[in-house]
Amino acid sequence: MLAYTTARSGKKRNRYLRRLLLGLLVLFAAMAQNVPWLPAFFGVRALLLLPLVVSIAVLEQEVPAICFGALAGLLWDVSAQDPRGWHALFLTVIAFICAMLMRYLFNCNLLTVGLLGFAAAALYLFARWALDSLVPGVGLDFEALLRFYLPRLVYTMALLPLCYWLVRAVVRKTSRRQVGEHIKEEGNIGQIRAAERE
Amino acid sequence: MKRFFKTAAFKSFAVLMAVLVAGSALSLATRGKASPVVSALSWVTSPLQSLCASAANSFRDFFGYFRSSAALQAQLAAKEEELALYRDRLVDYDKTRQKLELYEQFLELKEENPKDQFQEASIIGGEPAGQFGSFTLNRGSAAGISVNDPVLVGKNLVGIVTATELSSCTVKTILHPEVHVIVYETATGEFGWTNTTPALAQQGLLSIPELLRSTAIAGGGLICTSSESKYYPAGLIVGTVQEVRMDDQSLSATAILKPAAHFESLRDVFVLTEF
Repeated sequence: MLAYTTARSGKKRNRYLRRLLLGLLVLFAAMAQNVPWLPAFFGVRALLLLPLVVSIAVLEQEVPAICFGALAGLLWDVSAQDPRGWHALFLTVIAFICAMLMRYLFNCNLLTVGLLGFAAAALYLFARWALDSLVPGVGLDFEALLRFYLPRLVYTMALLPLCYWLVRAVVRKTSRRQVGEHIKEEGNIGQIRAAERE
Repeated sequence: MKRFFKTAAFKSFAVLMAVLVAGSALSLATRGKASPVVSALSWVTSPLQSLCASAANSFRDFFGYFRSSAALQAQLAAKEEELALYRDRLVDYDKTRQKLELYEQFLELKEENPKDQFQEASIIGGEPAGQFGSFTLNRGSAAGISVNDPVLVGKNLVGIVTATELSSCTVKTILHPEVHVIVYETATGEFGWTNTTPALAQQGLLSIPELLRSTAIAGGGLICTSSESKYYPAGLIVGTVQEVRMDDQSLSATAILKPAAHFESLRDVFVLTEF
């Protein structure tokens, strides 16, 4: 009983620590993107929050992942030109979809994360390009797409492996579960249910 | 499917979306104000963002010292070019300002003497303030200048034209021993004529010799050209009296004048070609 209680409080502590570290990562990424700390190449900057949210959604549990998505989106909106909460909505939906896909369909590996990250980033950037270009009198600006938005997509995808490995390192260090899998412990039923609830 | 909608994940998602959509809708309804959720978060993150921005700037400034020398040299060259351009503009501005001052004086003179004819000229050689000051102007007989034309700056008499070429002329200033001007003192009406000695000329001073010992001319008196002179119109300012000295050897007195024209800074003058 004592071992069970100690183990349970230890898991809680790890859980809180993991979420604190991920929260700090999201905050750091928001500062790096918005301040900005990330260097620009030929005037192009990366969207660091997108790959980070996808990585968290893939590696973390569903509910916290959605919350982190909302947090990342809100932090993005604080510095955005249009602070009406569109990025918060977008990243929340992305986090939810990625978390659900990982739960029911995909295995967790870099390729899967890469595909999901690419889809999310491409969707965001094409939507931005379309909205920016359709301002009255501008029309679809293909030159801007080639010179600005596509390079931005490439730069963002280049940072995705870094985000994935960082989040995976945090989750691994602070979790006794195998990453992305539910394990069943033999023995005490209470422990099994506790592990499943986690 | 029903089980999916009952999961904690979906419920959390629905709640979050409801809150965010409500905030966005409120923002749209208030025509451009930020979503309340974003505003609440910015209250916390804005100080942090300011701190990060200043840290980023300090970081950038620190590493600016390690920028390649080629980049810094290119910047330096560009700045030097810009500086040279501004220097040229400053010189042009100074010249224009001096011209403007000159023309303002000319305008005043012309308004008082509408029948007089003037020719503007610039000093191109010689030293007005040098010993026995004489200089060369960039206008000559082609511009209507002839020998014995008075040379002025504003209302102040500078000298007289002593030789002319087609496009230049030589002027001897009132500090030259060969130049004598019939003058009078405006307060007392006493007449005299200007003279100078090497010693006085070196100090940039003139004299009016052979005044009566009982002269009423005193320091501060204004000396102007007299109508008795055939070379100068009346009323041109020659200088101010500095002191009156009594000659030991004779019964006369000598007034020492400081010329009104500033010969050290003389650049542009007017030649009175007709009066």
